[in-house]
Amino acid sequence: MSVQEPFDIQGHGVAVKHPATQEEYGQLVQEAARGGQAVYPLGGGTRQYLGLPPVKPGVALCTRKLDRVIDYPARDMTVTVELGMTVARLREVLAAENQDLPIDCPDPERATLGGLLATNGSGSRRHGYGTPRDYLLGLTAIDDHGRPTKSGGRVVKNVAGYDMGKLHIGALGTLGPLVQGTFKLKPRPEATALCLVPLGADERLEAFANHLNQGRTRPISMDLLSPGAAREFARMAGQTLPNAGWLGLVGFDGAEVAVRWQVQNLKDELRSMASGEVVELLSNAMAWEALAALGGPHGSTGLRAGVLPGETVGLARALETWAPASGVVAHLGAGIVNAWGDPDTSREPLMAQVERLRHLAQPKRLAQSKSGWLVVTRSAPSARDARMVFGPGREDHPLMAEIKRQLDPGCLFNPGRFLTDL
Amino acid sequence: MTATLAEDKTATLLGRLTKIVGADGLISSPAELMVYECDGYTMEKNRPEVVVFPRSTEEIVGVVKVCNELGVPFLPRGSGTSLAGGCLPVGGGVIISLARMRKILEVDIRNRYALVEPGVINMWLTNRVKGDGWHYAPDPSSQGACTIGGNVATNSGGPHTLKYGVTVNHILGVELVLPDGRVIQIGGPVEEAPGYDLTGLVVGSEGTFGVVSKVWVRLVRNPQSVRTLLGIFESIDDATMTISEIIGAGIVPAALEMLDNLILGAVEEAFGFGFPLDAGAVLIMEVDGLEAGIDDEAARIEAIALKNKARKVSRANTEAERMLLWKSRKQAFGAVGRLAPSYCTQDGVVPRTRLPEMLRIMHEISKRHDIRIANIFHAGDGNMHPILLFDERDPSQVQRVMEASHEILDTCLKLGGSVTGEHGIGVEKIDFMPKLFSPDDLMAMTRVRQAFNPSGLCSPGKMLPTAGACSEPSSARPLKPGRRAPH
Repeated sequence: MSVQEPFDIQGHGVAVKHPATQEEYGQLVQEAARGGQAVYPLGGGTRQYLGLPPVKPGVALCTRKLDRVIDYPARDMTVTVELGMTVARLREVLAAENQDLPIDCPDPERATLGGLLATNGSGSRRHGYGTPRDYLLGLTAIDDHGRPTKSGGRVVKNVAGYDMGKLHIGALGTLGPLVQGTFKLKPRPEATALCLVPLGADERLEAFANHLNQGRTRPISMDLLSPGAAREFARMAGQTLPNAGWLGLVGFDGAEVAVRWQVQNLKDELRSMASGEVVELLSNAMAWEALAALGGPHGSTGLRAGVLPGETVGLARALETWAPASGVVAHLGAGIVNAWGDPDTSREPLMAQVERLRHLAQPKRLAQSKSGWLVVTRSAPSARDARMVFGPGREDHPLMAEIKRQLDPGCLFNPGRFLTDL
Repeated sequence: MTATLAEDKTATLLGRLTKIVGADGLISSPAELMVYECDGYTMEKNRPEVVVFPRSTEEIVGVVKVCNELGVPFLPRGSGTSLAGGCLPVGGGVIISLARMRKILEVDIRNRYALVEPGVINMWLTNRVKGDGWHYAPDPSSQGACTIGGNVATNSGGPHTLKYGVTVNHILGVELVLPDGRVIQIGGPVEEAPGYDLTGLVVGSEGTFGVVSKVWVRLVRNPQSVRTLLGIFESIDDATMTISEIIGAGIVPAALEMLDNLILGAVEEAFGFGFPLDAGAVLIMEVDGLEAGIDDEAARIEAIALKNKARKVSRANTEAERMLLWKSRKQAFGAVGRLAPSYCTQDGVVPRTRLPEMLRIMHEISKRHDIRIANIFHAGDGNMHPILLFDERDPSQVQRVMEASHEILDTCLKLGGSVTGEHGIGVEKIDFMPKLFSPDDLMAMTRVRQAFNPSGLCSPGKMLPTAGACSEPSSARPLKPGRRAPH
């Protein structure tokens, strides 16, 4: 599946090239650099709405043709692949050996592994399995001279050299295109379960979150869905909801006997707390997919915020009041909340709302060191600027800017698309 | 004249530092400084001019600023348990010991983190939270002595990192005194703040990016149940085949540790656990998780071990028995002195499936160089710690140990592995960097270091082959494998 051409990056049509090899990719980077063009690294094009619009004419270099399996020593539980491979394709390769890279990703048929890394993608299972930084063992990126530079290695434990892979994860491609990576893998669990906890009224939410932190079970996911998000989830997963209120979703996996024990325990423990019966969803593969894909209709405005885990419920409730018909999904273990809402919000009203919510994520009573953050993941391109999208600068931003200057002095890669100066 | 200038400079340095940390906050006499000439890697030594013991971030900042003004190199140090010369003061100058910054500043179980000063001993943290049913997961064998700050510098591992991940997977953020004296918070207890993951980069940077002055660590709930099994094998081959098969079967044990016959003898003499002295190797195999299903998992492991000709597989029946087994493993290095007057520990890694092959090659290397090699290691990760036994008074043995070490590490690379799994590059393995990485790879790393440490005054001569232009391979220094003399 190839991307549309010219590819639209936040309102800017950019010509796309499709190098077939890593070498060719490097040559095209060199060519762009020589011609004074910017390079916009592109995978499946599923999350280019993140960050800021391009500020310089350039070329999108698509990684989709770089999709080879380089080495899959399954019994070592690692895999080395080119990063233009889609997430779905990798899952297929790994499934043959009953293994998995347990990171949730919306639109896995189109999303590439490079994009997953560049955007630091994660979802509900991050509570049990972590995020891309916990899986990437080695990485090859293309530098500003078009040369491949690698860090890490292919073994599960390795502390030789700086861990440059960490730097590239979530960097939105601003430090160079990612072309090859080695991942640590997990065995596929024998069984999984996703339990639906009807919570209804607001006052049950905090008790639910607190309970999960100390209950006898060990969930791999613990999410809170606002009424709007619950409706969308039900629609996507083909489920019928018990009531119209807030919904808890708790996931387990592992040995069949352990999963059964946990489901039963959760039901018992939450009996008095939930507003209705705790139900285990059948055909749960579809429900997991729906949960990973949950994010509001195309074109809606998206927000993502982080606070201390214990503050998550408060933030989720605040975000729920943000826009009519909004949906909110909170990952209770990580303190990460995603929300989507009204597609029509123009800049000024949106900015006012964002400032209000940011203030909630960064309450004055918390020390600066514990302050949260809020990012506008998706909005009308014309309304996007650094202040709105990322909020005020933090004290480590000048150092990030210096790293960008060192690794990409000509500002070749994704210029202007990340935090100010990156 | 030069001597006078140097003396003047030292006097100025001492005077300025005393004003910051007080007269009882530094040492500078040659006798006292001897301890700080090296760390657990004793092959190379260099005396610092002074060691300071700051008590706060502000004092670290003061020290760093004085060093900058006077152009004196400096480096942080925890407990000095590094086995790769991570704390070796290559450029002399000032060692900033974090030994007096050892407060656990905050424990927040609800939010799953603790905030600690860098000098906090790894084990103290788990001791502090275990009553609540939580722990700090990375557990290096030296956890009774090593500091959290040192763990951050080297991205330490440990037996239980097989399931729970290494240090970087458990660090949420740090407060860092940059080499120019600025203080910044990187990351923190709130996850995923927008921007580059500088926390992930700083962990494992071996003190070359500044001085970590506070650390936010993730706390992990204790597993509900644990089963610890001991497998007795006739041969190392059978034991390594078992490891390979357990991982290959999709089981992720909490720990999978191997001890060979040579080390067993020493450990048995020291701790009296009851290991059979005629066994070729033993495996400590631990699974943890929910009580439901854990016995099935233990049974699967037992079956795999027996299929691979284990003589016997037994379970630790009591917590006391389990603790003794782990004590035997974690303090085994202390028992090595019973085997030889000197020893050298390596830290090579191979893909797990190559372990049987690697151990066969190691046996051959041992025979060819006539150097006994004891093996005790994190088998589940493919991270080996071959211990080369010798007498450092015999130059021929020293030479053979160096050659054998070199061959072992080169073999690790040939089999697709690395020269260090958890001890770090330090000064010891710096010459292997050009074998692991291309000049372009090393240049990218140098550029990153440049962003943090442009003057190069902080931890000079570490990690990257040459101070500013790493694309030139280093050839001036002879190769010095990780020899570690006894204390």
